[in-house]
Amino acid sequence: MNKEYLWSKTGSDPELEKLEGLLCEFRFDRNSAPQLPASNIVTVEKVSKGRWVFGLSFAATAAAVLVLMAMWFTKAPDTPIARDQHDPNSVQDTAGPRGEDTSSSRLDDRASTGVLTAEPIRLTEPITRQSRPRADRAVQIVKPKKKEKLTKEEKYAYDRLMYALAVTGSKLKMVQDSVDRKRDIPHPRTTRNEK
Amino acid sequence: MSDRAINSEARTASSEQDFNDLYRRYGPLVHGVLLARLPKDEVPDVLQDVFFAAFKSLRSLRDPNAVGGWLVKIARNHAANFYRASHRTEELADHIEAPGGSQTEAAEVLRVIRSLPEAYSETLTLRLVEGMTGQEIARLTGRTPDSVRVNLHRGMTMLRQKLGIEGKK
Repeated sequence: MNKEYLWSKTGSDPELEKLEGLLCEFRFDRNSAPQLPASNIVTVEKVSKGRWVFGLSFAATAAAVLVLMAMWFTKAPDTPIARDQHDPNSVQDTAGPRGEDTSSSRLDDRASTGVLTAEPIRLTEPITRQSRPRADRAVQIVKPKKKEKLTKEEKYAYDRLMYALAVTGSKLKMVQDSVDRKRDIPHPRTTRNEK
Repeated sequence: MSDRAINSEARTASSEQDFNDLYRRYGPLVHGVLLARLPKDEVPDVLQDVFFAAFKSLRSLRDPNAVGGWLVKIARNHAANFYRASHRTEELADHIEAPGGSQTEAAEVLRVIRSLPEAYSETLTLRLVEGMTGQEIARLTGRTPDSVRVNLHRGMTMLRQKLGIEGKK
């Protein structure tokens, strides 16, 4: 065996040359074009997380809006505006089913006008929401064409009542303030027990 | 396959050129390493896998002079992975040939080379099959020339014994 031929292919060694000739069929083909990995690989486009988050939040918001709208429309007939829209004649139709003015409608009328009279409120029948027809339940938000003029005695009584209400309100406010102040200060017995 | 599906990193002209250069320069080395371990029909596919894996992580290589040794390691790992996977499927070799002829003789010599210890079979495959000199083997694999020289001589001696060439003399 020629050691130099085995190491650097210098000289000759028929035995090694024969082996090389036999095994050259397995040799790497330098002329073969490599198959680029890019042609064999399918990359999946990345879907950004932001797109998912945006989509989910949009869907959640839309669902919430739909639910709120559904709730609003189911409750809408009970609201005053909707009732007025539903039955425009209800403004003039203040009479009850028996031809009498109901006490609540008269009270509402006076409250809206800001005018109180000394006339007592008479409850002719128990007021229940189910017992009254739909048109009677309409709230009267109509301004009167002309104000009712009070008599001298009524005006005096009205002023006295307003004065009394103002005094009572201020006293109640003072009481409330003193109660709040006492609540802020801890009770001496309680603190001793805690110690 | 649409163009969008192709990896953009490996699509540029410069990357193609790099890949071709890498393939032509180190192809024989990796081919020899794989041929010393795998059935010859499996070698081309695994060769492509090795180069693609190397190409993907080429930027992580710190020393450009160590490309050969790095590729040899990748090839050895892929060969080991091939046998792990093929054990599960138990595939039959499809390179069974009719007896007689030079092809059978060459396949027999290659089989004997593969039966040698790994260090010898790899070095002899690179020398006898790929036609590299001892210096080229040492330079490309990163081993010392003395180590390659010893492996060549010991491996050749064992091969001759197994092929019965010594007995003929």
